[in-house]
Amino acid sequence: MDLETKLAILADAAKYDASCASSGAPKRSAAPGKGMGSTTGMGICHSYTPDGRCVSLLKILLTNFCLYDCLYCINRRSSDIPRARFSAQEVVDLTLCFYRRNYIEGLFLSSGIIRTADYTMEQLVEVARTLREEHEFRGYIHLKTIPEASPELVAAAGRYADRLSVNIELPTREALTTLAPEKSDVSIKRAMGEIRLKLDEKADGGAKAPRFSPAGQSTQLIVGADESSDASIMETADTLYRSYKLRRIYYSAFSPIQRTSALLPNKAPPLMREHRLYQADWLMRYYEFSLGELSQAMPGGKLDLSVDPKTTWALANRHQFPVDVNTADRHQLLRVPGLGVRVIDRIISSRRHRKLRYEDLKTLGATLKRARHFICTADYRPQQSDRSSDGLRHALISAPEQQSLF
Amino acid sequence: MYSACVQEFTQWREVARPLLSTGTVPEDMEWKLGRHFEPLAPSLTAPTPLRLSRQLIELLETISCYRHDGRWDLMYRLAWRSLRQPHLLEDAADPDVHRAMQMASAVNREIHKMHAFVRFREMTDEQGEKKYFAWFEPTHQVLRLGVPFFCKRFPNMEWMIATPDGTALWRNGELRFIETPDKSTLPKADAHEGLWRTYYRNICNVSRINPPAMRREMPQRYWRNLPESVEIQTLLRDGQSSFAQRQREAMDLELAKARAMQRALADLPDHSGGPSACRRCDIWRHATQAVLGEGSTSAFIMLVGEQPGDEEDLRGRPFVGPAGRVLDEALKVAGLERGDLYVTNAVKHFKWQPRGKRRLHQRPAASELAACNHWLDAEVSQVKPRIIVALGVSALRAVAGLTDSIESARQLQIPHASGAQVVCTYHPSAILRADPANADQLRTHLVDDLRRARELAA
Repeated sequence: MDLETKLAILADAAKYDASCASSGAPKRSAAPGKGMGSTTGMGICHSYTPDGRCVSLLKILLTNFCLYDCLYCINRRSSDIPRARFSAQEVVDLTLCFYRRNYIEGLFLSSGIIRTADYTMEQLVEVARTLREEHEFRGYIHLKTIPEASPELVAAAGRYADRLSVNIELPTREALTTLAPEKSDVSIKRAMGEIRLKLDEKADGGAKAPRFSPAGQSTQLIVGADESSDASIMETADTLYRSYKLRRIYYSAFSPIQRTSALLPNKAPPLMREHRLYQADWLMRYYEFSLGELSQAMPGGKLDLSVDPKTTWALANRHQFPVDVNTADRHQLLRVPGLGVRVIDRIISSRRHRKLRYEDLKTLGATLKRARHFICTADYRPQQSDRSSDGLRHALISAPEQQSLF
Repeated sequence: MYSACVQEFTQWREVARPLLSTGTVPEDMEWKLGRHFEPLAPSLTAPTPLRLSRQLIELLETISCYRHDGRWDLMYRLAWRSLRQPHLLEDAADPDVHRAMQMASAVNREIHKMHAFVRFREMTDEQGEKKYFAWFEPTHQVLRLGVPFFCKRFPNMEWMIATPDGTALWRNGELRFIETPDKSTLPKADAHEGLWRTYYRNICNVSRINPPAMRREMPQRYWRNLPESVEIQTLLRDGQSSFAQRQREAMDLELAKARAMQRALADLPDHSGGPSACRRCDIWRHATQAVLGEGSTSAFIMLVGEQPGDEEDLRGRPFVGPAGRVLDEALKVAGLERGDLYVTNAVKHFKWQPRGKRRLHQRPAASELAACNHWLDAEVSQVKPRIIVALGVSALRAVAGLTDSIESARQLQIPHASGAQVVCTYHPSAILRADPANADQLRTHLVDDLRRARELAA
């Protein structure tokens, strides 16, 4: 089988993993005389495909042969798809060839499980080792970690990679038991725990401790393959963030695959649901929302598809509004729909120099369509502060937005 | 009054420094963009040292790359004001600071896009040495600020990044800026681009196609220098059916929203006397009357425009203004009789804003389109056309729930919920707005599409 055919098969097999980040690595660059590559801390998206996703890394599987038969996965052993396997050298060459032409930021390598967990992990580590040690490659490397691989191999992976990830795949144990009977949530969580411990060791040990996955770890959760509610997904997310210090969780809307199992829905969940989950996730990580507060944004355990979760929360907490942008503290401002973190930074910096008026907020970049119902300024108070939350919700959705997702 | 011709940051600095130190007010200085830079007279070049913050200098250097004549003026004003108001930059609500921030973020975005979208092509010279060449066309003049990134990333390769504004050459660990070589001397292909395109094709999940998100991050102006972009059309075609499916789902959501709005407005008086009494949205307040569709109620073809215009609003009939005349001509060329068709609009009331003494057309919002769909649906079920011609993006959105550009939607086969087939084309008013060269092309497209509709209906 020629290289191009393999690439077609093994890229196709990797595309259901939503992760593409190339951020979080320390700043570094190639030394004069040998090697190539650099990382700036910020990720770079080198291209975008018509599905609207970015192409940052060469995202491929080493092989799509797999011992497991997870129903949601295109590469499950009972799946009737073409199979291929790269040699470690082929992956190394391909990475360097693409990198040199500025197509990519680096490599994201994953694999089906062949023979044993350790054997598979060894192959992945070998690719990363060759890139780093033999080619002095300083670009980004993300390695998938295989649950139940030995601690020595995980340590070696962390030495070469910028980021490691283990996919939790499904939000609950019950779902995993039904759809991936050969996998165990315990071993997945253990693998994440193993990485967390090594990250801690590195953090405590400072410069003397061996390098370990500077961009931390991440995971992916499939949405819509099982019946889990948004509330239970966010609960799982909260647990994962707190337990394993994940940099981020990717929520991936389940893509119905041909010849699928009767246990799975034959319909993809609306992509809007995926989007709302990311918004809820952002509220937890960047907007100081607790899980309890978030549950007020999910009446009946569900995120509202027509209104973003922050607005839903605000509508359930009208007594906290309007917020005066000239005096409110950061925490209060973070709760106002239509004000993002960057706008809030600008508000706080700008109000030291002037009394903010309604027009100023426009200049600072606030989304007034939503914010205007929840704020007051030197010259403005919302007129509808006596309007019911229900009426306000209808008023807000009559100006639809975020159509871009469709 | 002074004036100076500058075309880059260092020249601007050389002129601005003495002027700032002598306190020349911004109003007394005229900046022009030009190739003929002349330093100021020596009497003006013995400045006292200036104290400008590093942050300000970086900002000025960044906005000096922004391709707009007003940049030099704004830079001087910012520097002049900062000397008198040291914390000026903290106030993002100040109009000058706001404008500067906007310009800086556009420039920084362009630098980022340069890092992302430069594509090297490999060439082996007579000595067997490999060299890498890229051609890039940045919106702003970012070559100098963008190129250090590549020096750090590829210090051990020999490479050249050529742009219309100048060219960076990296050889033996040294960076030089040279005149841009003739584009035809740069390599036109690379043996490995095929592999890259294969990767691009296969990493795309066509079951969740989302062209607007792609275009937002990778605007079409970059495509011609990206080898992978040749795959886009095929992928879009493969993904089209699933995209249309999701558009319909989105439309369902829209309709649900419209229904929700309807309930919210239920307590308002609605005499349900047809579109003229319709209060589903607010446009009616400023319009004269509802303009209903007209034509043969057994027509095979239904034309759907956006909304009545100024003249239509007054006359109460669709397509009787300037756009109507363009439409009539096109129909004639396409061999269609207006009397055989049913002609209507997606929105029945005229939405406008005042501009001087005129009423300027304002595009209806998605919620307004959704609210008015009620009437359009009623017309479709009465006329039962075989073909619905959507004229322009609003009509396309109302009829098919698509938010595509007309350019791309023209290529699609779009089914309508009623069983009719949708043909999409330009709105006649787009022809009126276009410059003469484009207008002719749009007119040809309009006629072609109308002809296609005629053939499909037969």
